Amino acid sequence: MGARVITVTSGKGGVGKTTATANLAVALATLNKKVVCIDADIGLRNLDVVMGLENRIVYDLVDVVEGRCKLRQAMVKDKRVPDLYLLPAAQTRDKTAVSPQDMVSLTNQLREDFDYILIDSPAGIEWGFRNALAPADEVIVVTNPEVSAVRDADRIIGLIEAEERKVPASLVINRVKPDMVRKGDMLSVEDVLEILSVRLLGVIPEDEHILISSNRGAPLALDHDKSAAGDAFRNIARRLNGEKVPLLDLEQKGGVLRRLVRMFGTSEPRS
Amino acid sequence: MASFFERLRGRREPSSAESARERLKLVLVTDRSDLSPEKLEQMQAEIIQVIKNYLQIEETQVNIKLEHRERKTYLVADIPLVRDHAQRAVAALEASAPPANREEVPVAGDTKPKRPSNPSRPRSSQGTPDA
Repeated sequence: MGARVITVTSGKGGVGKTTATANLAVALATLNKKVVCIDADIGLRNLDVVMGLENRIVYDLVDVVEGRCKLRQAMVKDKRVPDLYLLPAAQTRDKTAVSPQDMVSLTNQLREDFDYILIDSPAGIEWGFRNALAPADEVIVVTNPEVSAVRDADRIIGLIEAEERKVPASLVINRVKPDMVRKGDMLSVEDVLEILSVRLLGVIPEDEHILISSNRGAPLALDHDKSAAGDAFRNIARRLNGEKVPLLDLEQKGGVLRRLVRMFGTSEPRS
Repeated sequence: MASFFERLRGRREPSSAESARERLKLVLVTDRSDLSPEKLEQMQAEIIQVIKNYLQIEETQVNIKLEHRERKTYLVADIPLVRDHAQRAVAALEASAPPANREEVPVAGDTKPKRPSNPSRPRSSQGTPDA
């Protein structure tokens, strides 16, 4: 059995799937877990640059599937942490170069040797998403507290639930701005959960360090105590690992200020 | 905190987050059921026609809508009967056991509909006005 295969997906593009995958991979690896992440976004690969491994790619996922190299030859080792590898997507190929069955057999070859296999799904609900979903033991749906992202997350969760194979899904709400939530100008964590009715795995605050870290190709989760978002990702990694970790202060739904605000009326009473 | 003062003065515009929430709930009804608002209205009209063959109902107060709870979609119908008729209908129902007491029908691919097991959350869907 071995590894847990976790697919990170969202429906909508640009909500932070790749950032989440990179940071969770790094955070799990710093917990001394053996981790490999697979970029399933063929033709639009990005996990390599977010992780800062783009210059070390020799082979890619399609080379493996088409037998031009051994699986191990295509895996790029991240030297900053003990046991982390990236299997990059092909940049010049079409998504149809890989089938869901390919993804299943590929992950099966890796299960023995790893604790976690993270798959970065492409946006959308078609081929690439199907490839990413096929081998998943669990799915993490990333969304933003924003109408379009929540709507697409709902669609994705519906598609996952419609699968015959029952794959549990959990939610990461990314780019939350507590100030805006307080002013009633952003959907709260509770709002999103009420609408999507899915298990909450974590909340990531909006954080400019995210952009800085992707500029540098050094995921935030590498640096301890440097940023709120990095802490939030590390907390999610620990939760995945079975630890009970409370939500960060700024993520909390029932903070004193929030409660005051509710009492005095930015939120309507629930029926 | 503007809304606090607005409320003191008795007027309050919904916050943008509230608008987002309400708009999302509405659009998801359509997304999840694949039923446009027009189709839903048409269905309501047809349901009313069928029921009118059997019962006298307060046609203008009929409310049929899709509702989501815990990732399940329910078709919820509030169909009040005309008063006299309601009393007779209830008497007839009580005479024939067991009474079917809910009109909620899970839709949209629920192969094994699980009824909400909590009877303390009644919905006024008996089809009868409170007597």
